[in-house]
Parts: sequence; C-alpha cells; structure tokens
Amino acid sequence: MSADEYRGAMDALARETTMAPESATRIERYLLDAFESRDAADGAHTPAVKSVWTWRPWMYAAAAIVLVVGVGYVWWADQPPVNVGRQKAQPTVAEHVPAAPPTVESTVDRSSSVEVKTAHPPTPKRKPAKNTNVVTPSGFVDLPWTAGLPAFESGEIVRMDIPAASLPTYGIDISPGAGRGPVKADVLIGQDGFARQIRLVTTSSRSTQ
Amino acid sequence: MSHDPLSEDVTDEQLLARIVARDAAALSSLFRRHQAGVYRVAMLMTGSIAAAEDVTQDVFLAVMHDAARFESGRATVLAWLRGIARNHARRKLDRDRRTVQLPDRVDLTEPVAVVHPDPIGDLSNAEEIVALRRAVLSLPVRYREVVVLCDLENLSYVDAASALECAVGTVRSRLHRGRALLEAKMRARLANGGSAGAKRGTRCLA
Repeated sequence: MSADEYRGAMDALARETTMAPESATRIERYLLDAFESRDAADGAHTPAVKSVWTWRPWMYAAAAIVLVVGVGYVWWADQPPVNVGRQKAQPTVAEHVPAAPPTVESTVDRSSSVEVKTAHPPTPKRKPAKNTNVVTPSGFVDLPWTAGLPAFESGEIVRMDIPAASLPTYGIDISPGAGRGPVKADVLIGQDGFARQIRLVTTSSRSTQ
Repeated sequence: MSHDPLSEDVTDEQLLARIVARDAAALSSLFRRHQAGVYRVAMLMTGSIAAAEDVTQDVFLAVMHDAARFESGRATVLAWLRGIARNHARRKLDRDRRTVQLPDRVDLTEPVAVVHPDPIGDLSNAEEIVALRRAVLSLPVRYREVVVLCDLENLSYVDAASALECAVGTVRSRLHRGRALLEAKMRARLANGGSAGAKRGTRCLA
C-alpha cells in the first residue's frame, strides 16, 4: 500500500465514520438541557466550580469517619487478647491457655523445651497419652532480675530440674528442712529469650485417654 | 429550546470562554464544530456506535464543567477535545473489557452513517473501508490512538502528543509502528483473498 493509497483509505474511513444526524441532535439537546438545568440550579452568577465544592465537605467528613473506624479497627486487631502483666500475682499465658479448662498439657520430658498446648477435647485421631502431667498455669512469680526487661509479649514455658537450694535465688522461699535435691520448675521465657517468671510444678500423675 | 450557532469567526477559544460565562449558544456551536471529530475518535477507539455516542456526550459534558481549565498555551481546542475523547474512550474500554471482546463489537450490520456519491462503484470500496476499520480496531490501543489522531484526525505530532500527554518522539515511534502493523494486517487480508463479500460476489458471477 503506497502512501497515497494509505492516505486515501484513511480519508475515506474518516468520511464514513460519522454520527447519525438524529443521534447528534439528541446529544446536543441533552447537553443544552443539562447546561440550562445547571444554570437554574447554581444561579446565573455562580462560578462553574461551585457545585463541585458544595459536596466536597461531605466527602471529607465521610472519609474522616472511614479513616477513624479503620484505624480503630486496626488498633483493636493488633492488641493481644490478654496482656500478661509482669506485676500480677498470678500471670498467665493467655494466648495459649483456654478459658476452660485452664490446664496445660506437656509431655514428661526432663530438661527440655516444652511447647505449650491447649487442652483440646480428645479427638479420634489422637493417640492416648500414657502418662501426662497436668499442671495448672498459675503460681508464677517474677524473677528478681526482670525489672529492666521489656514487657512480656509472648514466649514459652520450659520445664527443668533445678536444685532446691537455689530457689531463694529465684525469689522462692524454702523451709529450712526442705531437701536439697532437684525440683521441677516451669520457667517462662519471654520473646527475647530472657527468663521472666518461675513456678514450682505440682505434679499429679494420672492416666488420660 | 433553540440556540443559534455563533458565527464561524468566533474562535474555539472564544467559544470556551463564553461557555465559562454560561453561554449555551457557545456550547451548541462548539458541539456542532467538533462532534464529528470527537465521535470519530471515540468510534475508532471503542468500535461501538453506542459507546462512541456515549463518549461524545461525556466529552461535551466535561467541556461544560471544565471549560475554565483549558489552557490555550498548552494545546489547541481541537487537540484538547480529542484528548478528552481518548481518555473517556480508554476508560470505557477498560470498563467493558471484562465482558465484551473488542473484535466482536465491530458488526457489519450495524447502521453506520455512510455517504455514497456513487453507490454501485463504491460497493467494494465500502467493504474495504469496513476492513480498514476492523484493522484499525484490532491495533493495540497505544498504536491505535496515535493512528486515529494523526492519520484520521490529521493532528500534528505536537497536538497529538498534547492530547496523549506524551512526548513527540513517542508519537512518532508509535505512529510508525502502528502504520506498519496496519499495513501488515491489510496485506494479510489481501493475501487471504479479500473480504467475504468479495468472495460471495465472485461466486455469484461464476
């Protein structure tokens, strides 16, 4: 296709692509109606942009409401379910412990890290535990050196054997006639790896399903 | 309501100024001067008569509201209007893309206002024009809009660049590529024996 042929074809296409006269008339009438009605609504001497500005404050107010609600929701969603207070008498790991029954199961594994699990109802697939220690997640006391640490956010409980004689070091008083052998204790390790609280384990062996 | 169009001596810029001052006759005059070009851009961008009419109406509604925003130093009114038409057409294409495929929107049976000084002699020519329209519509949008503005609306490179909000060099390169694609499509059509209508005519004559 030569340049002249191309030019001719494009000119022909342009000539043939025209709006139907009745459509043009209809659109022109619509535009003039809209023009007149806008004049009637805004007043003859009102600037053209006035109508836009009249509804903008409403838009800003709506946007502000949406923003406040959104920020509030995000703030609320970011909050942990229950804050573990460092100075509480009986702190609990609320995100790990169900409301009822308030028990934490852990396998008997001496001196190893114990993942805290909630005590869900038994399911058919679950293997029966031969011998589990059922402990109550209470009785933690703050370790003496935790005053300067950041607030506890999350962590895990580690069960370990510690000498009974060292308990006063951790802020736990012992009677003078107590034995000097090892005792089981749960240590609450914070998100930063520092131990925060300790409790002695009161065990009661029993068989579960 | 009747609004007599203003004299041809009144420039487009003056018409816009009068529209800002709430002169309905100026809007009517501007519409009559430019509706054909705006419609052409819309039609060859969207491929649909209904969509093109909607875009044309939207363009002049935008002019009605935003005539004060026209800056005479940046572009001509002609380029400004084509630019608005292009933007509205692209927006409409984006909205309709999920539901309607572009090639299907070109229908040979659609009523198109056609002028036939020599109906018999132009019978095959009409088919060629339909084929050319299809070829233009099948171009990628970035090439199509440049071809439409420069080769159908005869806008200068500067005006086209202003309407498309891009550099003049971009217009040149896209136009070159668009023309090459268009020529390739037309050559392919010729190689395939032309339009279906031409084939039907051959069979009838045989």
